[in-house]
Amino acid sequence: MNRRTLALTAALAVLLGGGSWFGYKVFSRHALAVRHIPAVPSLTDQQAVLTESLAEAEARARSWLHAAEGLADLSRLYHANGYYPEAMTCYDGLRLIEPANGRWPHLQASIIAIFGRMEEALPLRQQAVALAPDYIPARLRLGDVLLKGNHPAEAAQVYAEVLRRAPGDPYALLGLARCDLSANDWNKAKARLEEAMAQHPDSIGVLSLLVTVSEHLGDYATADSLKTAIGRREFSDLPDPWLDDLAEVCFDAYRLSVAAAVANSAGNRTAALALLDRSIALAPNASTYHRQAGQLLLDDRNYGAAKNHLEKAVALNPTDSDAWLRLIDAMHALGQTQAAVSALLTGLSHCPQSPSLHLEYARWLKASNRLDEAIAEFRYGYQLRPSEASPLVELATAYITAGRTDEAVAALNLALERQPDHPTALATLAFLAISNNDEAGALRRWEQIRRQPKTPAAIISSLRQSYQQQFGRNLP
Amino acid sequence: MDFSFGLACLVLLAGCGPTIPPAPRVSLQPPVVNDLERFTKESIGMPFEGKPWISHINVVDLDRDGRADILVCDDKLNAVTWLRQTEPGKFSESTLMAGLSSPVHVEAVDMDGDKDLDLLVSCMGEVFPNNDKIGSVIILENDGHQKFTTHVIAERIARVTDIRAGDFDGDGRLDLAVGQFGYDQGEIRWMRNLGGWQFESKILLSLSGTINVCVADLNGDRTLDIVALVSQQWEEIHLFENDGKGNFTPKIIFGSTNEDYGSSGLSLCDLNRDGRPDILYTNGDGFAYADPGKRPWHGLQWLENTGGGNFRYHRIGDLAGAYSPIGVDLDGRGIMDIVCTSGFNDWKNPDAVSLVAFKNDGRMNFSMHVLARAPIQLITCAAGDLDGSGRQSLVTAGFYSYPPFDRMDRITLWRPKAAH
Repeated sequence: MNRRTLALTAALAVLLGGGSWFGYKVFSRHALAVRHIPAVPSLTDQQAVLTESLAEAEARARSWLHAAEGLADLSRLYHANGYYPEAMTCYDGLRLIEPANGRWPHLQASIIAIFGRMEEALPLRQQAVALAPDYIPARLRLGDVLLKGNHPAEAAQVYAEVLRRAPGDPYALLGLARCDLSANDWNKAKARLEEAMAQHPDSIGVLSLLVTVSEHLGDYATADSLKTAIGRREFSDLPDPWLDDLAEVCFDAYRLSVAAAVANSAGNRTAALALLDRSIALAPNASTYHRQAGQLLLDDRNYGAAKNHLEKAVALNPTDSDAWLRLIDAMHALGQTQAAVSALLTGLSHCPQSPSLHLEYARWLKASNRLDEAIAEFRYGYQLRPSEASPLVELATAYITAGRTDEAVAALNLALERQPDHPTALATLAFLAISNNDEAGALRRWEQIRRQPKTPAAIISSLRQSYQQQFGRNLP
Repeated sequence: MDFSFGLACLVLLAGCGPTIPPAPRVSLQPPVVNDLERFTKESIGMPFEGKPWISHINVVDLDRDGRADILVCDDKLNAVTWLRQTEPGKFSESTLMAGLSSPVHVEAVDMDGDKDLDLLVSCMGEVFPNNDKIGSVIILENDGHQKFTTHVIAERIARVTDIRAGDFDGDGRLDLAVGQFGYDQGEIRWMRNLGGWQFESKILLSLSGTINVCVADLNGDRTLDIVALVSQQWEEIHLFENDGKGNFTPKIIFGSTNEDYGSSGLSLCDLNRDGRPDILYTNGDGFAYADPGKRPWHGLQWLENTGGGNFRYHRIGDLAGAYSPIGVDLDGRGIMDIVCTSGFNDWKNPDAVSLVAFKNDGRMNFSMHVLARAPIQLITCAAGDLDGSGRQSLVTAGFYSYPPFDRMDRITLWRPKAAH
């Protein structure tokens, strides 16, 4: 064998070896993928786009060259649309095909964990962290599982490692604060939460727990200030791109609307509206998604767009009293007073038992100086929702305007039975006491008002002024 | 090397791939049985107009006449009412106390040792989300003739959702365990009974979202412990182990990382008949985020008490909007089954279920029996001998706060048919 023949033989051997290895990889990946394609579940009532996407993904999973990618697409589609057993089967295959990819055990753990089966999820969480050490959500989830499994010391180690890799992570600091609280170390928890708040002032979970800790430590001023900062915002779960991105292939209108609400809660209104647009595209005749979009646009002060959605909502479901209310709000914001009144009357004709619409009608009657009718409507609104204080306070203001002070006081006292610290009820009673030259009564209410952080500053200022004018001295 | 030899090698190699154990199965759903004929349904109590808001019902022989009665928290009336069983299976409803501020749970217990049943009433102040301190702990003292005097034990506290009694410090007086949902801030406290309707509070936990507190010797040390279900973003079950002197050691015995898990109810029952109280637990609250609705993970589970304050989690089955789990021996076999309701379901679908029994074969294998599809939106149920037959009847109640407003009933009695 001459040199040339030797070289050719060697090259052929390398080619054959490489080809065999490639063939083996293709064959084994294909075999594993095909073995883990789940039986197609019942897809009755599902969107055609989902059925078609599943068929396409399955075809890819059965192909020789793109089997793994096809199986991954299939897993995403099943997971995103709530077909969890099928998604788990796909993930089993993907873990075999890509045993070093932490995404698959992470997503499997997510499915097991949403059903509350935390002990079964734990090994998958641990595996995900081992395979994807830089993926912070996997570590945070592991910490959470350990904390909720009553292993605060182990959880603290995981959260500390997150902080080493992502300094200031609010969810890690929140987790550590909870570990501190489980050890009854309130001051340490406070320090952690303050550190988190300094870097993430909009982290509602952090702020909310800091309120609790501040109240426990007797720092009510901080607690009240934090409550004001929180307002009506709510806790949002930690961002998890591997999981959150599944919404891209979700074709379930309700799931998308829930994802929109979650995105909005996390402060991402643009994403929320985009998700709702997809809900509406999938279920154009469902009023609820138009109402939800209208509400988000109202919050965004985009009144014209809000009105369009809300008009569609009430057209699709005239008995949706919340949609009527939001529509009236949008019309008022646009200065369309007559249209708002017309919508209110139409809404009431469709929703005669709606306490909110009756209250809105009562307000309009009061503003139109039709006081007797307004009082009757306020009373009816209160009867429809007897546990609430606010209708009684509004009824009281109507009584005051009508000069029926005794009835106003009775209504305000009834409101305070419902909600002892109702700021407007307290302030109104204080004003009435001042105007009746009842200084002791005014001071008694003032003491309560001072302890109520929700009283608007303008009302406090006005009270001080009225008191000073009536009694010739300043309020304490 | 011919082609067939190469292929054989590949097949062999493919068979020698990585071995990773498959993940646990997702679906643990037990077999489903239509059992719609098991009970006879009957509306009882006062007629209603509009949308009933009944937040809690309880079965108790309030007047101790040998017949089980029904106590009701009515949040439209802001009252606790009493459906007295006047003759077997016949009820007459009257208001025991009005003017209560959103009563959401009532328990009957002889607090003052005078041989009649007083009532522990949990008042939220407002049923719908509110973080103000508007809750109150109320005891209605019975004069022995079902006339009640109100004792406000605590007020202006985070919204109260459950109160139970137990002698936690061994002084012979019944103390209180109090769950306070609040909203952003909430608490769990125990209240030491000082006598003369005076109590002092000790805070056990400062988290929002407590729905239920239950009292029993949960760790086998012959002292009364407290177990609490904490919802909101926490979704946890906390055990407070008592040393018998009112010193409690807290621990988490379950927690979900799914912040939309929807914890909705917890009760105690010796499900496996080993002498230790186990925990029944539903997650089915669908109020979070978007329009109310079901979630695929809603369902029923039990936490097996393995002794020493340790518990093992077992998922029983999925049930959209699951609420109010209670242990009931439906067939008089000496085996505890579990009944629960659905508060949030796809009510546009006429097949959506509202009342379900998970029947136990005695070895903790369950089958899901659909008992009813209407009335809908049930968040509370209770069981007892409500017709003098010696067999277990059920009673459910409706809380209608979101559409659809059809298939409504205020209070429904479910009496077992003779054939079952």
